[in-house]
Amino acid sequence: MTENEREIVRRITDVLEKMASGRKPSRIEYTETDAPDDSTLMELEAKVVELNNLYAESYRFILDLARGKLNGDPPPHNNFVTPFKQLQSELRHLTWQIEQIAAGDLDQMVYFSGDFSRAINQMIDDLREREELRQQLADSNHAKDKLFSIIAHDLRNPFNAIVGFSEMMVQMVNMASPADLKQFAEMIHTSAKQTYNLLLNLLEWSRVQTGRIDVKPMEGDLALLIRTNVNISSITAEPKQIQIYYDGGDSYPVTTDAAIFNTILRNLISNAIKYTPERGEIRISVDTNNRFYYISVHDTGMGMSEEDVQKLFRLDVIHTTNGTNQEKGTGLGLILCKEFVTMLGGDIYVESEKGKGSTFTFSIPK
Amino acid sequence: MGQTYNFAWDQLGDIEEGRPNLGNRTSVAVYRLMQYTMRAVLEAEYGDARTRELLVMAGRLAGSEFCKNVLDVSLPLNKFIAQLHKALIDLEVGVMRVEKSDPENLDFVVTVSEDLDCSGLPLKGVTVCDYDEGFIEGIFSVYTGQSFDVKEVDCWTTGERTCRFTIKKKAS
Repeated sequence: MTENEREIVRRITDVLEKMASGRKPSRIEYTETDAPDDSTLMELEAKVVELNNLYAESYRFILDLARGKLNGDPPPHNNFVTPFKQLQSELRHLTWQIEQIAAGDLDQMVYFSGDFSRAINQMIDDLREREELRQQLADSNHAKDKLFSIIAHDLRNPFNAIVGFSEMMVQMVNMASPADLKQFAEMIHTSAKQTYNLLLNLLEWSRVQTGRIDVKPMEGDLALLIRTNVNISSITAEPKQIQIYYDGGDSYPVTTDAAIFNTILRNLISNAIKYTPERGEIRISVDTNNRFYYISVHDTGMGMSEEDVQKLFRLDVIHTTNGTNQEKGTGLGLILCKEFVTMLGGDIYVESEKGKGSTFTFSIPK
Repeated sequence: MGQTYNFAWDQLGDIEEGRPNLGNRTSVAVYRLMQYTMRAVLEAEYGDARTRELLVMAGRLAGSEFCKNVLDVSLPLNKFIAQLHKALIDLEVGVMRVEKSDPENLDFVVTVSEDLDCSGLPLKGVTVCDYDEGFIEGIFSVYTGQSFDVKEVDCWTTGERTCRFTIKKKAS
């Protein structure tokens, strides 16, 4: 080996030792050695110097990356830094995803390093679960508020009437005419019936809330169920001389829970009676497709504005309107209907026009 | 997007009916064969700069039609991006990741890995995803109703392993 060649080898060794030491690298200038006997050795030195310089230029970027600075600009035209740019890209995206999660976007799914992803995704699942629990708690609070509101107002008012009129009867029993006494008794009866219906609904609703209602589908005839409900409800409709018609067919085979179905239809007909003026009419019809029956209760009553329709079926909005004869309502019946229809696997819809009447339609699977 | 083009989504045809056996997929090589032979002819006819412009214009038209016909533009931005991410994976176009988003100033940086157009191509020293630039621009323009400048700053063909695009709202 010539002296020149030994000098080149010494310089190469020096550069490689510096790179291997882990110390901060610095750029070096390549100096061509005079007249080397081995041109391959010169070429090797040039390559080692180039590698050193690529490493030196990358060093700051890699160090910044290691320190969590993700916005550093990588040196241009430097393939040495390519895998670190890839890492930078992954970390930037990960940062963005974490920001989205922090802002409440729990649909994010992280794919970055197995254990890390598993931990983050587990955390997202936990957050999602907590959010669902929080929502359930909020719903439960709305339900509680609704219950208190019903007890505070809707249950108290009919009792006030019962207490008031019965007290008047006691005081006036010797002075009042039989006609007056009959009127008092009728008022007490109306209030008591109203309270009883409300209590029935409250009881059923409380069973729904506590998950104590099981759906027990049995084969039956939908037309028969409807006709039975129409007959029972006709008695309630009599004082207002409202006619209830069933416009459907003779028989519709169905597999459903008859008790739940009856509660839904009873409430919808009761509502229709409440909001239909004297001598009005209520029509019940059935439509069908391959999977569902659609039962509609159409009245010729007061109807509702679009704004009022939006408030129906909602626990968080307390919305009631008195009936045509000032019958009281709580909105609980419709909420119960919605819950029950959902339990049967169907849905409920309303079409209404103020002054013209309403149509409540609910579906149940065949 | 002042220019009107003779294109409608239904020109893509009823693929299910037309290809009952071969189905809706083809190979990446076939797609690239079409893209790069067309590019080569355009370059020979119109030169490199004009070819790039034409590819961006075609990509912009494709992106805007894709957005109108495939994506739900009523979603809020984050959901829209998640939807786009999923659509590009489902269609095996690439894996899009957001590196930076500034919704207020409509300024974004996204990367696309395993890109249909370029991943695995030989090194060229210049970017080649001009069509993708236009495609992204078309999508963002339809979604926001604003005009964008989309620039590919890193590409497989410049030695990177992922394509990186800056997306900035055009100054009005």
